[in-house]
Amino acid sequence: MTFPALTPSSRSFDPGNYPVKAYNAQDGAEIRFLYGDKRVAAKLQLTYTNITDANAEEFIDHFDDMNGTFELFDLPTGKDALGGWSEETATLDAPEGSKWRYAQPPQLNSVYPGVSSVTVNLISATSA
Amino acid sequence: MTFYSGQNGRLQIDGTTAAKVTNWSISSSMSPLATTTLEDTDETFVNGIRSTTGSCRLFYYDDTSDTERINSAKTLIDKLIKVRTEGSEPGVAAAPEDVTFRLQVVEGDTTREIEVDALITSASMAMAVGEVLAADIAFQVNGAPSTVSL
Amino acid sequence: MSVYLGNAGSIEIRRQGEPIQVTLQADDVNADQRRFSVDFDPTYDDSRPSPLITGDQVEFSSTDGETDLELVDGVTDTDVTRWVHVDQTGGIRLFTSYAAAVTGGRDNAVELVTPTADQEITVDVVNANYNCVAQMRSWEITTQRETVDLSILGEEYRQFYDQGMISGQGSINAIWDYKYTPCIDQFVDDAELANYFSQLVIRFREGSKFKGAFTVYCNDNEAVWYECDCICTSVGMNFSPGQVIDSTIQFITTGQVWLKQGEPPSFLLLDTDTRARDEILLEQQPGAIELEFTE
Repeated sequence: MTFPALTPSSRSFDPGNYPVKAYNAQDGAEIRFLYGDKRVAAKLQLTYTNITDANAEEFIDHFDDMNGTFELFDLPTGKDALGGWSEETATLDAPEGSKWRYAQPPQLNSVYPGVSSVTVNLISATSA
Repeated sequence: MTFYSGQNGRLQIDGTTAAKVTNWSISSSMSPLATTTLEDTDETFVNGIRSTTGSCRLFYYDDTSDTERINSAKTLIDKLIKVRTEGSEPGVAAAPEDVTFRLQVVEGDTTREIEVDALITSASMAMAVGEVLAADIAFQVNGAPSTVSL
Repeated sequence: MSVYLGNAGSIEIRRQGEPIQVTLQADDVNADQRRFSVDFDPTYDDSRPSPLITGDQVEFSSTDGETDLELVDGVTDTDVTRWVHVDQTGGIRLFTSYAAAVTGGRDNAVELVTPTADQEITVDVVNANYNCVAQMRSWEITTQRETVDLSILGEEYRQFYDQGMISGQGSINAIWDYKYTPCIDQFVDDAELANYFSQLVIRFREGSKFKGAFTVYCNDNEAVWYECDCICTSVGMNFSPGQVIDSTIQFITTGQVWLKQGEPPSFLLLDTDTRARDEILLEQQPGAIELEFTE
């Protein structure tokens, strides 16, 4: 099962950082070491407001398919999850060489019969 | 084509036509739920919860001409304002009562009406120099109307 | 069908006021000059005009109602009622008639005695007689009733409450005068002055209340008149070279308004020597008997 192909009502993206380790000397000087050439730990928060209960159920089903926060997955190839972004979608997607996983279970709020709101938090990760 | 005015208006309280009603009003509103997504350029909505309220104003008129005493203002006020259950216990009184309103537009034999079950939310009266004593009643409709035949 | 002209109309007023408790200091009574003064506002620093107006019939009484009042020579009682003349400094002289009070002067004033000590007294304007308003050009009075809409749903015609509050107002236009001028009609010859209203509208404490009898029609046998308590609300004066000074008095009614018809009440004046030690006392205040003629 693929991640639900729905456009969110709002989106928050944290691009993550390159693996950098910084050391500070006693005199205030800083020494940094770069351990990789790709960004890690990008975060993506998607909010789906007032969607049908059927659409809200798809997120729960996908979370089950991914064994919760265990397995990695790609976002759908269409613009859906990244819809509304006018530039290259790759900018908001998981960094090269990594995929997404659930950072925590989706939050579902029922607001009206047949209408719910869902918040999804994703974090990028690489396979070992 | 017929217009209707105050002379066509009636109000029934629990099945009895109320006496000395100067006006009634009913208002229904719905809170839409926004479904706008990031690809949209205009806001989109779906229907949300409906809420209906109303009000009426009656003269405090004590009619003892018939065998049955009619004072509709008192009838409604008594639904909300209750006397203490025990005189020594100030904080306990009977619960307010619900009421059924029929808001009617009558022309000849034809009656158009909205029937609702309502909770009285406020009842106010004021005595002032040069004015006739009247009661202003506000109510919240409980659920959807029982009858809508306009 | 009879047609009535305004010639027979007139206004009579009876002065009114509220009782004031003050201290009559012995040093303020000048028996030689037959004059005394009273400080009506001891706590107020600046001077204020007297609440009494020349021509008022005033009752001076001891506040406790038991102590004899030491003021008028020949009177040993707890109270005495006389007409007052108030001069420009607030000094008061007492007189035995309205006309004499308006004229003023020491020689006609009632003789006084110097009190032995300060006295707590009550001063009350208690005019019994109506005085006609002299030199009047025109007057009008309007009575009206407030309406309350009783219209309800289902009715085709408006309904109104028939017992709304009643009020009235009017105006008097008189040639201004400040000296005594008798009325030239069949009423009693004590006349009110247009200037009285000028003083009335600015009078504090006592207020600007008067009782009015507004005669619509009067002949030898009967009269039709309005009777009510009134409050003088404004007085305007019009000055033009070569023209008489016009005084326009506006008033409103307060309390009940009567429209009466028949013989207007008269008063029996007591023929008594007021300088005698024993005055003829009446049980009914303020010193006159009101008569009503019946069929």
